[in-house]
Amino acid sequence: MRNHWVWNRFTITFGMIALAIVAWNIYVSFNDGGRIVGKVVDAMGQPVAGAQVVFWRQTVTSLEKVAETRTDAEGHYRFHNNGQYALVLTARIANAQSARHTVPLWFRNQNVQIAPIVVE
Amino acid sequence: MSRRTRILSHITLILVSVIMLTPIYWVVKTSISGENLFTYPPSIVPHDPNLFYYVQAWYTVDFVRLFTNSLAIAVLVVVVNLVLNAMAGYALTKHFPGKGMVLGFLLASMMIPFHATIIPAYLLTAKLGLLNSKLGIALPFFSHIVCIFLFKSNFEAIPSSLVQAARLDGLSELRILTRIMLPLSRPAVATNIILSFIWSWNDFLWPLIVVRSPDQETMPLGLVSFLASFEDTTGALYAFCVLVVLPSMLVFLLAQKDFIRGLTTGATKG
Repeated sequence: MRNHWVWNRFTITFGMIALAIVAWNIYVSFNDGGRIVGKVVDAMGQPVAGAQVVFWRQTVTSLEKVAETRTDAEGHYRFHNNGQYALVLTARIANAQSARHTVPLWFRNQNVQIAPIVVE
Repeated sequence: MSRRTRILSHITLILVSVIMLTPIYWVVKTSISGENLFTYPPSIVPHDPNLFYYVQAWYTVDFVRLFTNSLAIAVLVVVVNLVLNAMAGYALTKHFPGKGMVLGFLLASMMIPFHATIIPAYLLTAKLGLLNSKLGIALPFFSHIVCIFLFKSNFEAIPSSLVQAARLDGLSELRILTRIMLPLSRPAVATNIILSFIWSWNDFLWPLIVVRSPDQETMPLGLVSFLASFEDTTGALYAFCVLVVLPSMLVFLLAQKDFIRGLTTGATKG
């Protein structure tokens, strides 16, 4: 009788949902540093040093600049505390620039490694 | 039924099911692909499906607040419905003077649409000081006449010898209801839970009238706010629609077996 009350489709379904929510929140708490890491490369795939990388926020009507940085000698760039659930990144150097790079995230402030941005 | 007739009826039922499920499929498909509704030719299979529109819908509105408001109201409605409808249904299985009139009055009340009583309901809620509160939103849904009759027919299907035996054992009417009638009327309880939950969860008009501040908004009101603010975000809008209907679909799927039995119990009595 007791088992029937504990192990029925209602408790199992809602129990699984509760478990999934707890697991998801634990995962989020370990990965919500808002760290964006990536690399800027040229058309040949070589790292581009000193490229200006701009991180934008998509609003309903337009893009708003959030932060900007420059790549290091190996073409790497890094942002902290992005605070967004969708990122837009652009990179430029001298006469070359990248296409707009939109990256949707699974949750706000997610740590993310961006695929190389190509400037040409 | 011959084999040919059975196959024909199955084909018909499958076709009808496909027709009924197509809009639901289309909403889910749009929510994961974000494809424009007017794209021609329309694609049956979603292109590049992803769940990011759900993330957008989640963050664009205060989803947790809307969800907890709707859930709190729905739980309140379900609990009060169970108590009031079961008691009313049990009372109507008894013989008392004027029972026919009470039944007639209840049946007549069913014929008046809620929209016709919305102004008195609003004035009454205002007099009680319950405007812009969860209790005020839940108040008109505290009892459904359909569910009262559902309990009545289920209770009447229980052999009267059981009730008489309980009475001889010294059980009060309340204990007969809670210890004998309700445990034996599980389908009616499930039906009551499903109907009151879905009616409360999906209601739009009454919360629209009663709610004044965003912190009391329910999911359907949130959906309208979302639509008004972000009309071009097709994928996120449909994702929000899926999130709105998901809880009621879940409750229905979990209790559908008892729900179907609850609707038919009593109908075959005698």
